[in-house]
Amino acid sequence: MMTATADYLARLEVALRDVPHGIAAEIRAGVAEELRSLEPDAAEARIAQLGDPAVIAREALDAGGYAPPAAPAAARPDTVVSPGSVPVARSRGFAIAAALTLSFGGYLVPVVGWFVGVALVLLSSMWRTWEKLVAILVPVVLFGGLMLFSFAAFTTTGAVEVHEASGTGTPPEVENPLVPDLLLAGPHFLIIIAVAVVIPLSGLWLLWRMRGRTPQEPFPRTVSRPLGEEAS
Amino acid sequence: MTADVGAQMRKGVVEYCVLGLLAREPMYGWQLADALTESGLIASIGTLYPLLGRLRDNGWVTTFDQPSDSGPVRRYYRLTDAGVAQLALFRTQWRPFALTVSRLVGEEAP
Repeated sequence: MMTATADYLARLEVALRDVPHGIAAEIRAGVAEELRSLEPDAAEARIAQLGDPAVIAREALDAGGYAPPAAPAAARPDTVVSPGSVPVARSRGFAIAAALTLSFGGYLVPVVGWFVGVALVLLSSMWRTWEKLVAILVPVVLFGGLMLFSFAAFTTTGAVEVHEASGTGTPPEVENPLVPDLLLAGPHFLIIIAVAVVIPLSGLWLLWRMRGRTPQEPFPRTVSRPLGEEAS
Repeated sequence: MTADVGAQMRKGVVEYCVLGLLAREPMYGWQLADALTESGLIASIGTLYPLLGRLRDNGWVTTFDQPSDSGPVRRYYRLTDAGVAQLALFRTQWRPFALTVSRLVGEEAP
């Protein structure tokens, strides 16, 4: 009956409290959509088939967790991965601190704060290499690109001035010294604004990317490479 | 090292088995869990979702919601182009790998 479904979902909710939020939410949603699609009798049968919520939760932890090869098999049945066993650089807390330092460290300690954030992000194992590179390099490339653009604007302005100065001797119609200043100050101001916006976004993007990941095994395992080597 | 050898092997291939299932048709969570538990590849639905999360993080699988005939909206999983490519890559490597292992295991048999 509906009560059996509700009861099971409530027990599942409690059992999944130690499972990473994203995965727990997906399990709950997957089980709920299945049970609610069934007639009461069928739902009860399915509940029996699903089994103890505590077992589901433990398997979710095991499946998301990284089991080192040296881990004794005998310890497995009763072992639930505890957050305390995770090395610091692999923990979610470390990753969150790293991403926030990358985002806002530069505001606290200009320039140096950002480099500290970069170091912490590189140390964390919560992201893939390409994600770290995107978060770190996009602001750098943006900064470099805008600086180059600004430099190009400067040299163009200089060329015009020289051309005008070596003209026919008639004074230029408008020799406004403010023009180059505006051309230079404008881009520089824009560069600072752009970088000040993009750097926080880079850290927040990392936080978004790590949602639902477990500290023990942030990266999907692939067997294609070992298989390829073995096959040759 | 006397750990369940079957469990280690299943771990290595189960993600590709999910890709293989989804290559036939998009499937929802219970469908996948049912097919995989029946084949002995996973123990329960608890194993499935972390696995699907990894596949999605990898960009091999994506989801879409579709109302079911019997009531609630179901979340379906389907392969992305990258998932199709990854499955194709696995297929090309699996057979030689399996043959190599068979040959080696056979050689060492008494």
